[in-house]
Amino acid sequence: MFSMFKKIWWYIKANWLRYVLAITFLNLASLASVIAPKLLEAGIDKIVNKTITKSSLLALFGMMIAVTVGGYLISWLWNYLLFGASIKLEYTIRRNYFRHLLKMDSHFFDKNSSGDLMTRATVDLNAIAMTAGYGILTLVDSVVYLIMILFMMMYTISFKLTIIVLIPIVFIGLGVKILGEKIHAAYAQSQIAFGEMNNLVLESIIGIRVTKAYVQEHAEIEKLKASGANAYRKNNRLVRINALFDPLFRAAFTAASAIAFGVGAYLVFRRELTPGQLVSFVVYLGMLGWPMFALGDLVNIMSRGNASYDRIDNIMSQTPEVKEPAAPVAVGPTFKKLEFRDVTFAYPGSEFPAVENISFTLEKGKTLGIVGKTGSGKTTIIRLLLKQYCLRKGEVAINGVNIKDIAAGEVRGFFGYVPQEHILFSGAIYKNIAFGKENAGAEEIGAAAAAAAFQKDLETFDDGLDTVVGEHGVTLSGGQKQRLAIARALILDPEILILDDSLSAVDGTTEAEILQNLKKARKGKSAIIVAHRLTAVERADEIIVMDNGRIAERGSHEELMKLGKWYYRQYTRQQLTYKTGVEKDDPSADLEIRE
Amino acid sequence: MTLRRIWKYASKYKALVFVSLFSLFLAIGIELLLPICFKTIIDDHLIGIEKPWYEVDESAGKTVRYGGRHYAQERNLRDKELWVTEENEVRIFLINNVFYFVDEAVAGGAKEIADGKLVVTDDDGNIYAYDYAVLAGEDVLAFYRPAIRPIAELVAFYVILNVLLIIITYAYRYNFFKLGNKVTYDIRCEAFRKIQKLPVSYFDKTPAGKIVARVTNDTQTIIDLFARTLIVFISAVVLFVGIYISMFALNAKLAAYTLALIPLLLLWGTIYRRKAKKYNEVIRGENAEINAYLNQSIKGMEIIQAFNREDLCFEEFEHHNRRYYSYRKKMQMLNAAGSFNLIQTFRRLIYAIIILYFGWGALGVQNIVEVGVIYAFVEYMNKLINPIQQVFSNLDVFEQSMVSGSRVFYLLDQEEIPLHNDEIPRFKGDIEFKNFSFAYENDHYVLKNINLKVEAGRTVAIVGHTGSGKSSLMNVLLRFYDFSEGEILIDGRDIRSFSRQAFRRHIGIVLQDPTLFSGTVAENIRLNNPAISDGMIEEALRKIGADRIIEKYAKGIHERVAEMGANYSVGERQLISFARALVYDPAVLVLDEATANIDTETEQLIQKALKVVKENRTTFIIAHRLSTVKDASQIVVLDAGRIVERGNHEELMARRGQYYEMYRAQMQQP
Repeated sequence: MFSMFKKIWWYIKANWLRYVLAITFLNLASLASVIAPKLLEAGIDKIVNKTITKSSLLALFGMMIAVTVGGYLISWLWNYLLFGASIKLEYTIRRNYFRHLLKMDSHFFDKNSSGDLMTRATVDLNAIAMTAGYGILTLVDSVVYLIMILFMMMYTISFKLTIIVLIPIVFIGLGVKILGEKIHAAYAQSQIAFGEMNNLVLESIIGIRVTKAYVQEHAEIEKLKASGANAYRKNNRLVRINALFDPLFRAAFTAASAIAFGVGAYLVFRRELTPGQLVSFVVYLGMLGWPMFALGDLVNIMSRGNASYDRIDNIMSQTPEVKEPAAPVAVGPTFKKLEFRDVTFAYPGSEFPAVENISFTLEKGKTLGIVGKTGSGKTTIIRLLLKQYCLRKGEVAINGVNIKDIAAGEVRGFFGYVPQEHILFSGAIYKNIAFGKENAGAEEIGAAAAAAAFQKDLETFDDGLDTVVGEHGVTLSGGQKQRLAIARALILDPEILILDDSLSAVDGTTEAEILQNLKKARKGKSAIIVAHRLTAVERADEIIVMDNGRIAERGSHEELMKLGKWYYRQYTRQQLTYKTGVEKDDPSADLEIRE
Repeated sequence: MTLRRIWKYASKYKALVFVSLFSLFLAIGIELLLPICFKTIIDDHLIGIEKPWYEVDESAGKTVRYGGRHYAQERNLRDKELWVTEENEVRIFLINNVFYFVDEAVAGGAKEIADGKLVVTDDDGNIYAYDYAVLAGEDVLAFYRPAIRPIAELVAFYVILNVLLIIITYAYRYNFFKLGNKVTYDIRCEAFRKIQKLPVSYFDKTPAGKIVARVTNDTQTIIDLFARTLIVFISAVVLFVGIYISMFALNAKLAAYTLALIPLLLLWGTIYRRKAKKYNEVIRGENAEINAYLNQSIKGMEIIQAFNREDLCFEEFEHHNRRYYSYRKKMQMLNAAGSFNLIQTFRRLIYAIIILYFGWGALGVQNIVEVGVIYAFVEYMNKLINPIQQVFSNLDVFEQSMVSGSRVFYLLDQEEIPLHNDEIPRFKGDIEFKNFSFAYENDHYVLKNINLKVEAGRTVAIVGHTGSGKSSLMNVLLRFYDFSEGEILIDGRDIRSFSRQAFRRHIGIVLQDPTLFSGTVAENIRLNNPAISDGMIEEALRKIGADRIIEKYAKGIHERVAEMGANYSVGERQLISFARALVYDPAVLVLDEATANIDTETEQLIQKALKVVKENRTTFIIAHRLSTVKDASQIVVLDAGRIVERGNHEELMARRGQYYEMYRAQMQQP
């Protein structure tokens, strides 16, 4: 349990002054709490003993007010300092966490699901913050408070009485712990029942058409009612145990108070105790409730915080495999050529290489086409270009320099990437287009949109470029998303435009239009086009055909057609269906096209 | 009002409500009595030693023997008139920790020991001096002896009261919770019924998660409402009234003084809530932003990195993070000034006032100061402050449950379409669309002037681009949506002339994305219908060639489907949907074809299954993959809601129209 404190020790040390002050004030506040009954006791005894005088009364009253006001201020201080510390910790960890994520590579995001990363950033973060604030409070405060109260009870009132009175409390303390475990188990059960009901309702809603079509409404209602009844039962079971908690506590303190009064009265008879002392004793007894409760809570909080810290630490300690070079070489800003030199790469954890012995050169102003079956390694090449994974065999070089030695930022700065999957961000369209160029002007944005054949779509939106897309906004169709993604890349006017199967969702006419625009706008710039529709790469300077991670054929369109292999067959097929439109029974044709 | 509506559900359980409230009030009553026990012990028996004693005969009652004589206090005497006289009166006083015995009646006033005499100064300044004897320890004990039994009885009484309190507290906590639990269950059942009666349009408009939240999460807050909030509010009110009555009964003046603090507390409470509301809104808002941003960034990290936007994204994130941080700090400052801290302070302030009040009184002429009353006041104030604080901290919870409640009732108030249980004989399956037009809203027509005839047992394939109106066909044919222009006829009769349920018994569907329910494969196929046996299910699976589903796992059709159907491939899920259609044997089948990529093997299986399922059944295929469409006896091409081409595959290809273009385009893509 205390290992948790060791874990956040770095934070405590960094904010040592704050913590020292907080704990000091905390203890002073506890002191004030503990003195107050004593003052009360003194007052009562003076009254009873008739030794009260005007001055002593006013002095007493003055002290009580001082303790009250002082206590309030000090309490405010430690409360703000201590809980402020936990809020700051939460802020700090969240900040570091996000910063860390931004540095991680694709392998990391393949391993860790977004749902899991999110949970760590929310649930686990909360648990840790709780420890740094509430956790420390409970630990320090309850222990110190407890000691102070017991001290007052034992040494300023009656040692004997305190010991006697503690016995039932200790017993009940154990009982509470056992009860706590039972409650925990019952609670888990009710959570499960709730989760099941939740799931069933969700399924019922998602499958509403099926239910209605097969006329199973009544059966569904019964099914759901059954799950509701289950939740009801588990809840009842929970409360049967849970409701015991308070009474148990009360029983302990009743026994303690009864003993206090009974034995205490006897001690008053024997003049071992004054009436004032008896009253303050009972008040102290009441004050024991909080620290005892808090100590029990503490174990809970600590264990949760501990587990959560480990989970966040696990993420933070993972380092990206793609490391920044110690002494980055600058090769820009002019792009001359891109080379793949005998690159072989397997995804981490995979036995088989995704690409093998890939070599090609892309010079400034030229276009490279990459084609091949699904899973032949096309997108892998793109990922390696963008330095998303760590390359071990072979080299990728820009202007002759291995990209390992170039800063990732600079490498990526050469590319304008349009991915296969449409990823947009919530916000205005113009913000999405200008994603890579923060201070792009309205004209630039408009030009990029036009080049991507996105202008027409913009006209259909009421707010045009200001239209908000995403969760709180409009949902774009697949084709619209693609065109926006193209605009997003074009606005950078990158040296190398990468189109990863980016024209799949647009129809033939639009595809032709975009390609035309690109030819015009990007004279002298390079492009890499990955496609399934071979017409998209027809005019590339070099086309490489990928098959199972290797380059099976390469050359210009004319050269490949002369080779008469896969490219030729594919292209012909695609053209053939143009003419006859009917598939003749050719098993090999089916298999290959349908890959 | 939401509370009133919730209450209506509760009022069904009159007995439970009564028991809960009764036990709550009883518990509070006992709570109020408790301090009286100890007050009595202190005042009557401890301090009470200073009350008058009378010299009596030994037999006169419970007497104390001292200095050869017997003494007793009034309450322990049988013949009061006989013994309670001023001549018989003697007094004992505790001054500065010493007990003094005075063998005569003593005047009221300030007391002190001076010059070997007990000197009393009364209000008018008259001074009286008395001889005294100092009581030794065992004498003091002797004088306390009559008190032992009463004290023991009072302590016993206290314990019994507490035991009762424990039992009754358990009772009301349990019963209130049970009440809340029952109300929640009742409301949920209504919601379950409601869901099955809502029009399909509601589900298309509203995200599923939102609806679920209303049925499960929002209703859950109702349990808290009863189990916590209501108890806190009701007991706070009753306690408040009860405590003040008790305090006034004990000492009216002091009670009045302490009353003054309450408005202060209330004032603070109002200020706190107003500020807290403002802060919390920002806090909640920023928290949502942070999470949304985080989520989005994680999913789009590839793009962020490819576009070198890490620093900018971090800044945007930090903006929200910082704002959240600063408002949390503000909230913390507010909390530090209030809640527990403030309560503590009030408590001590009250101690101070109590001491001042009693001390002041003790300065002057005084009767015995009732220390017991001091104790009782301290206890009562303690009992008062906690409920007040709990009320404040529960106001948020209360508001939240009202908001949740209104959301639930909003759902329950939705218009529903009643379910009918009638049945009609199986149709032959002739379907005809006559001048049929349909719009989801206003004049946005998605189907325009459709005229289509399909003979029983035949298959018609519907093709068209996205937005051409294909999916709407399923919606209207199944009467998921209502229409008013034109007719749809089955076996010559308008489909609206039957009840929806009776009609649908003869129509089956296979959806684009075959979601499976949790349960076994068999349950997914039979859908809770007891008339469908395991044998029928296995037969259906084999018929469509889906043997592998039976053989895939040891439990066969009794294998449980994992969440989202993860343990079965997309193709297998489709096959299960086909088996369902087969087993229900509808006269008409509407199939909205899957667009997902399936491996070749499964694709062929599905083709085969489709052939089987189509047999002797009027089948509508809403086609996305044109390869499935070639065998249809009739293909209909929709464009912007109209039928633009119709015929079979060869005829349409020859026309070189839209079908031809689409087919060509598809063949170019793998």
